[in-house]
Formats: sequence, C-alpha cells, structure tokens
Amino acid sequence: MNSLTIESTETSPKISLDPSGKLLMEGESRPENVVKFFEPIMAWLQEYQQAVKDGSVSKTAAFDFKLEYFNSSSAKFIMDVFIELEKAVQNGLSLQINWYYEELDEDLLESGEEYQKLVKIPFNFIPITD
Amino acid sequence: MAPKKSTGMNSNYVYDTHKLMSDKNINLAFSGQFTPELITSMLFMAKKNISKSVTMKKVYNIMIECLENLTKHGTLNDDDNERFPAIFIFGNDNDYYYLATGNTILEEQCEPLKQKIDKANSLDKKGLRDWYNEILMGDEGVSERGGAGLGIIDIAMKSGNQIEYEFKPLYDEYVFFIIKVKIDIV
Repeated sequence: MNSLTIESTETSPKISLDPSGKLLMEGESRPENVVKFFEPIMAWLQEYQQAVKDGSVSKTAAFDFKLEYFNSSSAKFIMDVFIELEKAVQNGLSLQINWYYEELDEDLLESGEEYQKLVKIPFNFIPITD
Repeated sequence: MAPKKSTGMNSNYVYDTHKLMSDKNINLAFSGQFTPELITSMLFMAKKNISKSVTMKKVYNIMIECLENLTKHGTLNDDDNERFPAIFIFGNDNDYYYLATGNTILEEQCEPLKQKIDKANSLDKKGLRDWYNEILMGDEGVSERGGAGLGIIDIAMKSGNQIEYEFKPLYDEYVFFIIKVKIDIV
C-alpha cells in the first residue's frame, strides 16, 4: 500500500502516514473544511487496518502526534483517527502513540490524557521544552 | 430593513475610541468582517506578542475557538447577503484576561445557545469533560459549517470560569449576541 503525505499549511497539520509504521501528525489543526481535510486520512487508515490483518505491512508502528493546537471540530476527527487505529490494533498491530505537548500547554496534555482513556492504546506523553 | 448608518464625521470619536480602549485595558480589538484570512493574521499577531506562560497559551487556545465562532456562525444579512460585521476584543482586568466577541445572529438561534451556555456554566470541570467526551464519541458528525458542537464546552473547560453572555435585540429577527470569557492570570 502507498504512503500518504500532506504538507502543512497555516491552518492544517503535516500528515505523514507510511505503511512501514512511521506515522505523524504535526502542527496546527483548524482547517476551513475539516471534513475534506480528514477524508483521505480516514481512507488511508481503513486500508491500513486491512493491510495489518493481511500481514502485508509491518505489525509494529509508532504514531507521533506533535500538535500545537487543534480546534474543537478537529478534536472530533482526531477521535475518529484513534477509533480507526484501535481497529488496526485489534487486527494485530503493536502501536505506540507518542503525544507531544509544549510543556506550558496543560490543555493539550489533558486532551491527550482524555483520548488515552477513551481508546485502549498506550500513550507516551512527551513534553517539549525550548 | 437595517437602519441607515450615520455618515456624520467629526474627529472626537478617534480620541474617544482611543480613551475607551486605554481605560478598559483593551490589548487587541477588531470590528468588521471576520474572514479566515483575517483570523490567521490576528492569531499570528497574538502569537508574536504572547509571552510564554500557561495563561497566555490558554488565551491563545480560547481565542481561536472564539474567532472561529464568528466565521462559522456569522449570519448573512438579507439585504445584501453579506455577513454582518462582528467585534472581537482581548483585554485584561486586574486578575484576569478576557476575550469577548459580539455578532449578529437570528432570534431563533438564541434559545439553543442560551441552553448550551447555561448548561456549561452549571457543570464543574469533570461534568464538562464527560459532556465533551460524550459528543466526541457520539455519531453526531460535524455540521456543514464545520461545527461539532464542542466549541462552547471547550471554551468553558479551558477558561475554568463562568461564561458571560447577553442578547441585545437589534431589529426584525436580528439579535446581537455577546459572549465574554475570562481567563485567570496565574
């Protein structure tokens, strides 16, 4: 299966999804058309779950979430991303979520902790200091 | 019909506006048409001027949500199909920063908004979090305008204070909706 790369803009994050198991979402997420932005991401994740099941891709993966900010409509779609990832885990994927947050941004840390509670995938919380 | 605007000019208003903004400790304000491009510029400006602190990060996060509400829920004027002008203010008082917005909405939008804010104001942090998660996990989907119904709850959760609001009847079915969010300076 192919990888999916979307370059970042002022309002949308960089996306890099590689079937080898290197997964990344980085930047700010407040796209004008949130439905359209997340559509290819969801489609890729659905194909990925199947590939994990078939054994045609690696059974280990790490997803780096390096989000600076996401708006409340993106929050809903990020939840959907986790739901799709959870299905990949059920299909045998060993997945590590790395949730990066700026040390001062307690709201971002809290959002990550909540997602962790809602899906059954382990999270690493990594503060960024500068 | 919208009332005609006064075109009378004298320069007192410049000083009056300046004095008002200065007296009220207004750091940033804009009145007019809010577009996604303008919001990006305002956020860029805010980011440049924001000192690194827990409080300012919170202000920034809430500011985005407030500004997005103005573009997503701005009502179109029947007369010219243009969006009504709106206002955004960022200021501070002794122990808190505040973000305030005002925009024109339809009378029929008031009651659902009132119910949502009243409910948010009645809940503690855990209650807000549970409500938020319920919507996050639900199958409601995202509206055409990109709203997931989480905005007000998100603002209430991050601010940790009661959301103040007011509806001012304008004319016909139009109402001016004001919302003020406080962020404690820690």
